[in-house]
Amino acid sequence: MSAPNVLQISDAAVRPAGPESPLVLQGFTLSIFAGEIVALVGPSGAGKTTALRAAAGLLTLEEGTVRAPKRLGYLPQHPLTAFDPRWSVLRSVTEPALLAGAIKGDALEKAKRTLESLRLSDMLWERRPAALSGGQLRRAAIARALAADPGLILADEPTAGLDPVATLQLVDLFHQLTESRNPGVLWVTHDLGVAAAVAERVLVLEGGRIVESATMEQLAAQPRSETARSLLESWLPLDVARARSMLSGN
Amino acid sequence: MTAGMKLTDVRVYYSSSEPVLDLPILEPEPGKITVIAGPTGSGKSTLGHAVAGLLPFMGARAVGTLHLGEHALPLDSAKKWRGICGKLVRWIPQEPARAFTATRPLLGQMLEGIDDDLKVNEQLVTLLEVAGLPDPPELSRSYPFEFSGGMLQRAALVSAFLPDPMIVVADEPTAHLDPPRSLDLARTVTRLVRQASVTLLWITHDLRMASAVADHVVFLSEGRIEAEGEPGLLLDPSRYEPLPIVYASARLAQPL
Repeated sequence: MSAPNVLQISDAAVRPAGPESPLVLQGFTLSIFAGEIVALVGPSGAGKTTALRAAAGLLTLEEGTVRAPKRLGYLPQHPLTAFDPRWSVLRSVTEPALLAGAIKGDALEKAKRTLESLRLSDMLWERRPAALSGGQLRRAAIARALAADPGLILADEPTAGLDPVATLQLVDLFHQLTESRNPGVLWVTHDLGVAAAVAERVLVLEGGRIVESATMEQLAAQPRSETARSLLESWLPLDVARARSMLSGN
Repeated sequence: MTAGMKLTDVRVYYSSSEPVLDLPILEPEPGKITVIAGPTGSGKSTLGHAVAGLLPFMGARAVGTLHLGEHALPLDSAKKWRGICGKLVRWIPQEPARAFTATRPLLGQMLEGIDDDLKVNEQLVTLLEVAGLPDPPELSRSYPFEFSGGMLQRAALVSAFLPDPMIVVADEPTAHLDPPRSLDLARTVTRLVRQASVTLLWITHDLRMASAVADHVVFLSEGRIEAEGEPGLLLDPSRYEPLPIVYASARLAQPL
């Protein structure tokens, strides 16, 4: 691939809860290219969020290296945690560009343009984050993550709690974003349907490392890891006869 | 206990003069699983609160009646529901794991407010087995933090089926679980419903889960019933003109 590599994690080992705690990542290696959306899948407790935090430089590595752009956007699982509860949405969205060294007028202009591009009406800009609906808040959090023109976006279960219509809108939004702004995206999820819809490449996390990297078609046809098999075997289809037979264990 | 329930002439209002829920009639089949589906904001949880007798505590203005066996319960009165709410009708919140406090053993918390008699003890042993949970002596020694979120969710379910509810309302019980744990919970629920012959309302926007568990599906949209019927028909976009939520679910299910 000729696109530049925006995230490179090599042989990382991490004990997120301190030096005496268990290793959650071990021999963890991944790379992401500009303009590419990569899904990181695994069950609860596999270390998906730890991997994102390591990529963001929020954790000390015991071994290995992380090479990531200085400007990156982080979408936490709960969008409210991306905001200062006392600040207006607009002020929070303006902050990252200011931190990146932009002058105030430019940062404000950019924040407004980004909020507009995410179809967040200017009636909402001066509100506190708690006064926005779940879907509006999610888009505001994306605006904040995009505000400093990041080369990399790290998204932690961004569709958790969204209904299928809102999920699909967010997936389409990320496709437009990568096309127009060309960031690399690492998207953590345990939903294979979302992973398949959003990402070209799916990485399977097991035992603290990436054990498979494939398209969803390849993964569905020939899962090689226990984790991929378990996620596929518990992925209910939208088909009453097949879903019921899965439920009854056949 | 299997008995009929019927909601009639329901209108629920919060701040606006437009009702958030407007249902002339809803009559789920006794002993079966009825899935209440719909997008965010369609009135699903409000319907759950109505059936569970919780509207007076939610700051809602409501008219309508829940008919339950010989009882006719007005939705706007907490008083008339005494002895019903929390007994004949049980409600499980989205994150049942949060229903438990960390400082006391699990079993005591599961049986809180339930008269401790022989019948309940026998039922408890059976239901714990159906749910794949440890036996009562072990649960009386264990604390909630020693269990996974999935196990706590099953523990909350078991306690909702004790001692003899007519109706259990489960509001997005799998929303915070990963797929293996969701499937596991769904298996437990269907077994419990069969074992205890309870009428279960399962509120969700996950239509793949609805395909697996529903005997009957009610689609809500903007507080009204948009479609209702057999899941095999309504959830199959090739057989029924798909509602927006069915269309989106189908697109998200496509590559698999």
